[in-house]
Amino acid sequence: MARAAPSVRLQIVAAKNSALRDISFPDLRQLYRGKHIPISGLRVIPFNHPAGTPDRVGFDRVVLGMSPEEVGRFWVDQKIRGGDPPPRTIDSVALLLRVVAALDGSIAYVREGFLTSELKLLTIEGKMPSDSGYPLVY
Amino acid sequence: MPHDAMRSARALALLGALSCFFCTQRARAVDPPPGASSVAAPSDAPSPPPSATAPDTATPQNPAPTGASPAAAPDHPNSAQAAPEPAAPVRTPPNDAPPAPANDAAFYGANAGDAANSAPSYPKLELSGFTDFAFIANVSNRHDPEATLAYQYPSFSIGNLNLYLNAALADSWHLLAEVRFLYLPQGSENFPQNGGTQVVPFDAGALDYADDNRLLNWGGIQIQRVQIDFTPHPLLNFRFGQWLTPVGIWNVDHGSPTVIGVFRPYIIGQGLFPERQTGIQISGEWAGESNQLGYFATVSNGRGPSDEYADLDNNKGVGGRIYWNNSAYGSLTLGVSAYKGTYSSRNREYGVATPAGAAPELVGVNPLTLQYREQSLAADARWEYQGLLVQSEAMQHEVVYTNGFRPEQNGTVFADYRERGFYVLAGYRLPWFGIMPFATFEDYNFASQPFVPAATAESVGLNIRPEPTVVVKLQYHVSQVGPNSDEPLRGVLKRILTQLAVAF
Repeated sequence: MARAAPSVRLQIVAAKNSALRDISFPDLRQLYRGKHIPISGLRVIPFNHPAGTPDRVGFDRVVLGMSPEEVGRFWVDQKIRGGDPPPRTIDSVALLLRVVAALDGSIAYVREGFLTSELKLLTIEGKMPSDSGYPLVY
Repeated sequence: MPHDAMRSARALALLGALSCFFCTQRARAVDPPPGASSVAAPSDAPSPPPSATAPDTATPQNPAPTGASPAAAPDHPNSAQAAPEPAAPVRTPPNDAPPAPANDAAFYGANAGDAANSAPSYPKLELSGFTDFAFIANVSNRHDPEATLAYQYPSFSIGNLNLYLNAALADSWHLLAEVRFLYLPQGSENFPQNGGTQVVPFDAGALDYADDNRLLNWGGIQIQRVQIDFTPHPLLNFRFGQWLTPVGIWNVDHGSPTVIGVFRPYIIGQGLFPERQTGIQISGEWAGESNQLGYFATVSNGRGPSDEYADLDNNKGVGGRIYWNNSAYGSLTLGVSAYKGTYSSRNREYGVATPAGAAPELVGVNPLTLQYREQSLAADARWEYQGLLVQSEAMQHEVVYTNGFRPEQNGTVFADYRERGFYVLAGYRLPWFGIMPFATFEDYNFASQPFVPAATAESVGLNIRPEPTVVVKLQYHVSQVGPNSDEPLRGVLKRILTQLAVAF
């Protein structure tokens, strides 16, 4: 009997001194669809993982509801219709975390265990990653 | 510079500097839209000063410094396993991250902030676009008049070559311009306007003085849109310039890679709404858990012979659109749009007036030659659920001419008219090679054309998208133009349409 693969929980992080504390799931989806959403008076800048990495694929499925192929088509179509550009991609988690730590208003998602002292965890609609019903699980 | 902007500029400078450490160690990450994410600067962030800007990609000119300290966090944990998308290989660099600077001054020097803020910055221009290559054959019955009226000989063609110029001008400011390059007017065959049946194709030949006076066929360009956006809030975006009219689905989504079939349906290209307008557009979007509501309101020159830069009456065109999107079961979008305006065409004449007791003076008069009032309504629906796509648009356009200023063609005076039509498209994107079989049905009453009866059209085809940027289309399209009517233009037009469309 095949054993189910363990699920991965992703956590949203921001700079330690950021005014951001919590983010709603719709806002998260809007941000990663390229929309400009102010939260707590801040212009939030989302950063993304490279296409094809497991966490990016899982995040896109959970948050955007799209497969990697659909995500690819979505951004090309957005480009052609003159829509919002995609969040910037940073292809190293270490660099990603440093950028988020340095750039107030920026956010990113990482797996548990990647939190550093320069970052803080954001709740999603009041839920911590350990809470039941936490949405960023794939 | 406001304090927040200063902090952002410094942070962006840090981002650029940090990127440098990895320039030579890491290939460029390729997100599905090439040049869109990892290449482009984020539009929502101020441009870093050139002196502090790091390249987005690895280059030999930007070597990584040696002696970087050990990383504070590991690289992508599973990056080696995953590559369903064409992502560049993500390697775990040794000694990944530099030590974090204590502050900006420690990192850049005591005057870092001043230098960053006083250095000139300039928005980065980003180029992109799309093009398509087609082969179209008229396969109507040989004895049907339609076999001779359009696409008589099977032909290859380049249809669109559209270039986008994108620039994030500043925080909340954005520019988008789109230009289409054309082979036209060379060889174009317009319908006869004033009687007669012979149509001489336009000859754009010219002797090229730069090539020993050999013959050159020149082409044209069409400015599709030039829009400057100011977005102070998600609920309030101001768009200034020339923009595509926010109506339905495929008037804005007009790029050939995004259109499922080879051609857009009749009603999209027939001008039931102005395709584009020059003026001001205000829009906004509210997003909830699974619902979005959005609006557009427009005011423009309306339609006219040169509405891109001149309004020949005092009636501005006004319009709007509202839509609702629900993502509970896939993505369902419903929208309605409206437009109202006045078309006026005038000649320009000059004369001399002599006021009593004064010297003669030059005056201009603008006699009206054509005028009508118009009103357009539209509704659209689009549902995407997993691989399924169902979409439809319906439009109605009413035209009422000003008496005395109606058009005439071949001795026929045009009556007021109400044109309407709709289309329905259904397709399903299979999980293999991006293949989508699709079928369409459309109906249009051609009320604006005096000699053309109502028409319907059906088509079946394949839209194959093996890569997000590459689309191959195969379509069999049958138009039934009033086959049983008495109008002179009637018959059944059957065509095989193929197209290769790419985004770049």
